[in-house]
Amino acid sequence: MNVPWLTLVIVIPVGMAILLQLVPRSQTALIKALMVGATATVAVIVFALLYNMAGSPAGGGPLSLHYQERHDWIPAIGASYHLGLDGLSGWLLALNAGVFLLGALAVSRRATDRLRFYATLLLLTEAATGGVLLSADLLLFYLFWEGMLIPLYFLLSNFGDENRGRNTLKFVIYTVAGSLLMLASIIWLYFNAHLGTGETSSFDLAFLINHPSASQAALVIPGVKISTFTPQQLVFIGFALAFAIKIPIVPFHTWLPGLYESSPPFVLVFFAGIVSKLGAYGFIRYGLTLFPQPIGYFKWVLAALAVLSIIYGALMALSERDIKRIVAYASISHLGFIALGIFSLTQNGVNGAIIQIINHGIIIAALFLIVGMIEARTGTRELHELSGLEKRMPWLYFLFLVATLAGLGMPGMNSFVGEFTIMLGAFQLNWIYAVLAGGGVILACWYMLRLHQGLMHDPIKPVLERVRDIRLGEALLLSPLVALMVFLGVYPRPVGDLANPSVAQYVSIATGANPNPSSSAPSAGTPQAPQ
Amino acid sequence: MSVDTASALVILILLFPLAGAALNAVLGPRLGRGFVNLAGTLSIGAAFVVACVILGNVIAAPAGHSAVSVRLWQWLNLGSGNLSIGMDFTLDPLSALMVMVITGVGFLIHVYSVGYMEHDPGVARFFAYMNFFIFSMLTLVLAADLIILIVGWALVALSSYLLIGFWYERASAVLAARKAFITQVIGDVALVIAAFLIFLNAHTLSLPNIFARTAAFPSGGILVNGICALLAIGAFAKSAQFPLHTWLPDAMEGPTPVSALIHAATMVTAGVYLIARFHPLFNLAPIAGGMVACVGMGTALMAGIIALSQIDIKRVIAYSTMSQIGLMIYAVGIGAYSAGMFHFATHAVFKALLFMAAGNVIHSLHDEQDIRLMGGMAARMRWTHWAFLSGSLALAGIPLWAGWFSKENLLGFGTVAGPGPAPWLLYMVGVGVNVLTGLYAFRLWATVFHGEPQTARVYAAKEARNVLLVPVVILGVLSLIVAWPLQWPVPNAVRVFSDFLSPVFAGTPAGLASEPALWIAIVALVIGTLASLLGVGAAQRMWLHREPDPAAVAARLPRALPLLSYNKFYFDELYDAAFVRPVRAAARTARRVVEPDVFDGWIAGLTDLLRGFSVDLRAYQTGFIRDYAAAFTVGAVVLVVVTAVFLSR
Repeated sequence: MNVPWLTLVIVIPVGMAILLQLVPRSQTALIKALMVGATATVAVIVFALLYNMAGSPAGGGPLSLHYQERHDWIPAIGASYHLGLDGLSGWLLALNAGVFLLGALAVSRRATDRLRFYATLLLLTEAATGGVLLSADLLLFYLFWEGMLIPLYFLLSNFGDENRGRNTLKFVIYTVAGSLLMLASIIWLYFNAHLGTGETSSFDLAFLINHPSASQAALVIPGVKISTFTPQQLVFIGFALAFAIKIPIVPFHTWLPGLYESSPPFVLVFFAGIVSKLGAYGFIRYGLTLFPQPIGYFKWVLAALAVLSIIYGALMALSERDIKRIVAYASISHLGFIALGIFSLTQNGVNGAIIQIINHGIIIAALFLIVGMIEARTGTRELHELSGLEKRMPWLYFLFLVATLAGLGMPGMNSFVGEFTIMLGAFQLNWIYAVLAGGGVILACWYMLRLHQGLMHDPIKPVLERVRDIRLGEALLLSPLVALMVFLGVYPRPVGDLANPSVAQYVSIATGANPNPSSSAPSAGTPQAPQ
Repeated sequence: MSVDTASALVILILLFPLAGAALNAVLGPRLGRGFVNLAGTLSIGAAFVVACVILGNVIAAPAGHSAVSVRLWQWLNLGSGNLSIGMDFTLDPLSALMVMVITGVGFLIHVYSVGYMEHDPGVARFFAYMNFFIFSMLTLVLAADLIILIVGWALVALSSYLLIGFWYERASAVLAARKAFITQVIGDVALVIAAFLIFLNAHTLSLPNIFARTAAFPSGGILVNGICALLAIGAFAKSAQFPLHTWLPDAMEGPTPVSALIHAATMVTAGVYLIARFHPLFNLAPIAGGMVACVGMGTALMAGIIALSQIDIKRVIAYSTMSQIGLMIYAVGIGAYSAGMFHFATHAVFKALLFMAAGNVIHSLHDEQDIRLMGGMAARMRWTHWAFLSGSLALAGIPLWAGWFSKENLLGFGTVAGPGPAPWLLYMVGVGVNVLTGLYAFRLWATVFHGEPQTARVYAAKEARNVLLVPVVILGVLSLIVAWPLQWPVPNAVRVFSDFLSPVFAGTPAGLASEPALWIAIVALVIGTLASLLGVGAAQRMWLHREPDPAAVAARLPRALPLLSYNKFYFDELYDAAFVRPVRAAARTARRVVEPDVFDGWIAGLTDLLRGFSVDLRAYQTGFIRDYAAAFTVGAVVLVVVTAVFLSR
């Protein structure tokens, strides 16, 4: 039987969201069970798909999709319901399933009196982000990309502190501004695809990659030269703005700190965990493939902005006093690394970016949960009002220690793998980027230790003497994340193995190189045993 | 030794300390002190047994087959031409030497810790960290892939951080831990960038493969010199060498066994190991090697001067450690790799001893560390005193004590090898360091153990208990005899040690660190020994007999000298002004100005513009029919006129 597994990944959350409306609001236990059940089912499906993918042959074409589902949608304009999964989207989908499951588990039934509303929105968001990752058709992608904002808007504007309304509005305006430019760019791509005789244009990604628009001279209106960019470059800017805002890259980041500050941890685990990664995903999946020339043209600027994000985020994290904002700016700095890896346009860098996307999802979720647990117990987020918590919270101290080390890129932890490969890619682009990113690593050590030691060390403040350590349930929530940080640090191979073939493909398209480079470089095999 | 044996040995020696750490961390707090002491020490004892087996296997290996590499698993593989890294480890004479010292000295220090930490409530955490340190250090010295080496390198820094800040309720300890860790990360970044350069040229990060492809690095070129300089920066951070040395004295905030194990015997010597391990590259990089030699000797001199005036017993020993490691770094910088490693081995013994003996003194004085408040301890702590004396003699390099063999051996190479046209210059500085070493070592000994007791606490002091004494006495005896069968500082005498390591350093070209001729070696030996004796003798006169009084001597020196020494050449203040404050200021500016006014500003400006526009527009929504009718009329007329004009053209 041919089960549409990819569709199920989208349909199960939507179906459960509808089903939940039949459950009375007061049945919170049942609501939570259904929410966890649906997200867990999706997670099982996704991991089964990934497990199978390792052995399965990839389809041909520019995308090498391992699984595809395709149905006509609006045949008149060549838009289709086309879902596909490759090594890149596979890992992101896994992260997606993981963080939503975590979000479902993290919300306690006492945390909100509107659990059904929360569950519904969480499931709808998961469906939308899953759709973004699975789409292999630009119109479909855009539909999910924009659709994602609707449940997110209600989530962010209904759960959180008193500033949430203003912060959510800022986020939505930012994002919509970016997305509209992207829509215009998509339509431009559709109309300018270089068609052979008898072909009609299509929104299909593979089709558009294979039919790039003929390169055109810089856009000039008679008499007034408005720009020295080619139309392709302008169109790329349309996409890039949408993605750069979502990541976010400095200077498009100001929606993030406030919004993270006002949102509760159980929203942040998936909002910070996956939504911000979709921008990075967009750059890899669409930026590298549809715009090889423009991205090569702009990579110096983009990489410089990425480095700016790293350093600037780090400096902000170093001077902030609110522990949640510290984590938020640390997140901007880490996302800068991911962006830097992508814009290096090297196989090492892009692989590192994907590894780091996974890692960052894990680390940032753990950090926001930890910060939330501390805030819930002490009633404050001011760094200077907190100290010496290790004495009262030895278990949280240990879990937080591992998360801190992962956050500062400690070798042996997962983030080192990503940052090392990213910086190697950046070094291949130009050594100065790697050296500046290295400065970011040193600053990361500084601000993470300032946060960790500031909370955990020094004599404990008298008002904190009665703080209690985390409960078993909270420890169980954090432990898998912490275990993954260590596991992916000593055995990162699965991520690279699965993602690398796709990455090789994307990078070769972006750089116009042969997808399978001849082994001119000597292979780095096993060490030579003299015996 | 077969690959299977080798993998079994590698897994075992890594597993024992790791298991000890895990047991102590998870079960320790519940099962109590007895369990913690057992798990903590036995795990290292077991690792020591494995280390002995490794040593036996390496010695027994047939000539030319003394190195075995094993791969435990593939770590990452990004396709050919890109990163491919294995969890690789290697057993060879160099790593065998390192694991012997780490587990051997480490075991004694763990036993000592049982007594030292007896009353500390955090003993389970302490042993978990200590065991984890041994695991990290073993990972570092066994690694056969640069990435794995960097992992061990950083984990060592982590354990050091955790142990410096062990008493986390002391603000000074917390700051010292942070400072140490950040300094280490600076070194890590340098190592990582060196790894990039190596990878992009040799297309591998596996150490045996790198060393097999030295053709990728043109000899004496800017590339290999740059790589070696970066590696050296990593080594300087770890080994507390100028300019990354300021963390080590502050690291004395940790419990004394930590200072003995990590900040004297093992971790801080990792930089020496790194350079010795990368000798195939350093052999090609004379400029970087010369820089390393100069930095090493310069640090040795500087730390020796500082040690003369410090008043905290542990800080004096810390600066002496910095100085002695400077000598090792100097040795590996001039290509005398096995001489550097030999000084590492003997130094581990006598410096661990000095720290633990100092720990006994501190313990019996109820945590007093100011040497001005001690004096006359010899009568109250006989065994500790004799052991400390043995360690000081070894440190000062008095003939027949271990330090004499290794230090004179090392300086002997300095007579013929060294950077630049005048290698003798650095050698002469080394002789000066010998004098300084005798001075500060015996200043400490005389001030702490002799003279009048300075406080009432001293009168009440008692000899340490056996658990604290036995490891100290064992090391005290070893400080005398350990070098006898191994290596003599005269060519063609006993040279078991350098023969053992010679397969590792076989490729070193003859021009680097060839042994001096017999007569030069003997003259150098006499000069060096006389210098050491001079230092010790002068210290005796000044601090034991007060003729001349040291204060009077200091008064006769240029005023700047004692000031610089006491204030550690003002490096802390300098770095604070040059790095810490500017970064803090930049961060503050980012938060107060850049974020609200620039990055949020341009968005706010845009929205204000739009809002202003809409406010202006709103003014026309008057609600009066007549206004709308007027606007409608005007609009219609304009439209008609424009259309008419347009059509008529």
